[in-house]
Amino acid sequence: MTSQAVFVLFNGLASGMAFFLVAAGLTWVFGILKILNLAHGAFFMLGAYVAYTVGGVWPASIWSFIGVALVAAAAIGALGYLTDQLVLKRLRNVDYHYALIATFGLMLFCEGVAKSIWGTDYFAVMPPPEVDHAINVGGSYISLYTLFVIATGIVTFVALEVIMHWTWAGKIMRAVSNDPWMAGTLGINVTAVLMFSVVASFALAGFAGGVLVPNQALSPHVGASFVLYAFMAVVIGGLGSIRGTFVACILLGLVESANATFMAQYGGIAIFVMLAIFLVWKPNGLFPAQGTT
Amino acid sequence: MSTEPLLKATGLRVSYGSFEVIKGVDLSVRDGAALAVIGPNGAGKSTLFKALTGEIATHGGKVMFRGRDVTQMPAHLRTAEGMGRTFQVSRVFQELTALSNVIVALESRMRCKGERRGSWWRAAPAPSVVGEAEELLAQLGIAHLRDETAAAISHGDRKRLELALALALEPKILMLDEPTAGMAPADRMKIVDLILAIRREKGVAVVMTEHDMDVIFMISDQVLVLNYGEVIASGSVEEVRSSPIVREVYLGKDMYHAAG
Amino acid sequence: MTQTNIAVAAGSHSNISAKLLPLILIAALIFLFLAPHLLNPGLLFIVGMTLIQSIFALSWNLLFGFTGLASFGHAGFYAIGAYFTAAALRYDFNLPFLAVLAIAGILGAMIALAIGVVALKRLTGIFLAVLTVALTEALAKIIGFIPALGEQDGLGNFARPVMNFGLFTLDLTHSNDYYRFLVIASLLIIGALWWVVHSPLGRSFRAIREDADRARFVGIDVARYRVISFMISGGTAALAGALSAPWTRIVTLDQVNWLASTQPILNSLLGGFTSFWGPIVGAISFSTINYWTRSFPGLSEIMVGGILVVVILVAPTGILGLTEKLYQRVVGKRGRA
Repeated sequence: MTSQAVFVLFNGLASGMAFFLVAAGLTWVFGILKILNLAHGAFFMLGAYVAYTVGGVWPASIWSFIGVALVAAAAIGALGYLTDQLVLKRLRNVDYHYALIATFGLMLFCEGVAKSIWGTDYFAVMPPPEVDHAINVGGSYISLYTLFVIATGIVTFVALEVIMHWTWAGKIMRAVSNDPWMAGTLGINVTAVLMFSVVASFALAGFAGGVLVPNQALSPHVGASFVLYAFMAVVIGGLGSIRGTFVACILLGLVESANATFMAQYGGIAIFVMLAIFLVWKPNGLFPAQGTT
Repeated sequence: MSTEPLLKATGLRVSYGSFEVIKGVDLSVRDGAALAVIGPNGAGKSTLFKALTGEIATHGGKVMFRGRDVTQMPAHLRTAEGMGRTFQVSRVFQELTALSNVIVALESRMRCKGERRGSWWRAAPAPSVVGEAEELLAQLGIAHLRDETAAAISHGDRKRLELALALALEPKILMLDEPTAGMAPADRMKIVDLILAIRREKGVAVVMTEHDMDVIFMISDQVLVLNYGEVIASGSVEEVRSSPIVREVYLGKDMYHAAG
Repeated sequence: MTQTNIAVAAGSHSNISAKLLPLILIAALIFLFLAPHLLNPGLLFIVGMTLIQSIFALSWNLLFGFTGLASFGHAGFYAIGAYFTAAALRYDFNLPFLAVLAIAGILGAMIALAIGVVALKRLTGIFLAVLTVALTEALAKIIGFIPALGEQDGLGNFARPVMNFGLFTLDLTHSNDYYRFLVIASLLIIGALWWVVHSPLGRSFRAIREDADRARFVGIDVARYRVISFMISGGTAALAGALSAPWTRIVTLDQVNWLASTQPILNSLLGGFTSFWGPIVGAISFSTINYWTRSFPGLSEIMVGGILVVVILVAPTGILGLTEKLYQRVVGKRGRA
């Protein structure tokens, strides 16, 4: 493999895992609530800002870095609870158009809040010192931080899969997502499960924000680009399917990376071509699922 | 007078995924005739209906209507060809008034047939269209509801409105999915009279699914019995009623020990 | 919030508007024509933008309130019209201004056709939402690739057009003159849209929105009419953008961002999407609110996003829907023609 291909591969995987950290929560919420929360990326962005505010530009160590990300997760999870009580709960039984519009408005609202608190300037956060150097892989220099992101993404995917398919909690969540009424008659506290799922998915978004913040120039628009890729991944992968989202994210990440490396002057466009192809070829996604998998 | 049946299905097959629901059904309906499709729940009556009207795709077999192969034709074109349809739970345009409901249907018919009424620059419906809509409502006994929102009218009247919509397209055949479902006996008889009147005055053929044997006896000439996606009996009402196979399938259900 | 149907009244005016409407329209017309003499240039600019936003919102609501399709990337069409017109004026395409406008509108309609034919046949609301958002982002990127369109700084530095009709010329260089042209053009476009909505075509759209399957079974080719609605909507949005370029005299990527796409949604929902006039009422209301709270960073997004959420949760049928309900409560009547 040429060194450029190696670079594209690792970069692509890291991008893909970054998308996945955002998209996982989105598809999870869809599987359970049947609402596509267009505001999900905004919460990711707020998580990044919280991490920046709490942790500052130079994280002391990888452990404090992860710790700060967990703080962001908690903060955004709490915010998610609030949002659920005030907004999302009331959207559960209405026409999905209303839900889409409301969450779209919510996303804009969050972008505005970020702008007013933190301004429109770009901030940067450095990766923690342990991963802030590059190693030579196959002729190309790959930052350890890149590998860290890939690892985090894979670990998250595995954790979600395990929870969903191997624990009783996961079984309950899948039951609720497949047939809430039936689950209710079986004695499952559907409201609690829904609320827990929402809070968990928001916390995941916040965590993603904290972990991924060294990856980019932090600005209110950062959430916007990420959430778009997350939507695309969720749609391509199949709404509600975590596995599908994982595969789709990897594909999108690789395409984006190849685009940036080989056609830099037209960066960012290949990914839309891919979306168009998928929507025409497989409109229900790679893994059309009913409920979460 | 052609001897070709109005509606003819041969070897119809429908599958949901890998599960075959309709396993090679044949049926034929002549001009002006009335066919009832009966069978236990889950026999595939609704699916058969959907396949005949173009709501779902078939996986085998042919549907011929008025001598043309309509198997690949989408629903709106079949409707334009002359297949009217009502649904088990009446579907009308909820937030439009009864009059507007019929006007939409009439304007659609005119569009399909290339008719043009009134000046092209006029936005409001042409007076002759409004007149025809009012007449149709009157024929179905709901003229007094013309300005009521469809969502607000009663169940029985909504069925009449739906029939008005179907009739607005000047169909040659009416596909009625459980026309008397959910109705009290008195209302049921009214609907039966209505259907008989429509058959008489407009000469339309009727295909319907039904559970109520009295209704079937009163309206239909022919009966088709489905079970597990296959035809187990077909013929006149008398033939089917005395068929031992049918008795076996329906054994034990009081509903089917009908009078006479 | 309980299960609500997306409610539309067929070809009707509510009882209030049937009586008040002509009066309000005449008052509005008088105001619009006298505005250059009554208002300072800053306020006049806002009036002009409100007209443009009204058309933009009407175009969006044709699709949503009257055909049942939600587009979350409508700013894309607006931007196409705006950039095309700006380029035509800046780079001297040597076309009569009316031709420029017509081409902008047709461009919007053609792109809508392309998207519609591919997307509308198979995609449900959620996919359409994601697709429209993605396409607008893609468009923003594409515009960013073309240096002639100004990239991040935007395309500006062009004069308002002079319209040459052979026998006479209309010099629209001065803002008051262009303003009058804008008013007339807007009235024509709004009139045309009114005609579409109240015509048999509009009635078909509404049937599709109410119950697409039922519409099929009265012989309506649902897929085809959805595409037609999308084309009219896209073309009109492009026209709004085209009219805006000489008014603002600069076109930037801000016209393609999510705030821009949310604006017509907000205007329609705020004013009331079940009525033809709702989007206009919403545009006017929002302009007023916006004027009183002239923004510092973030306030626009907070307001637009926030109001949108509140409207959906509290009063989904918007201002006109609320006034209708109030009126009926007071008068105790029911039924619409």
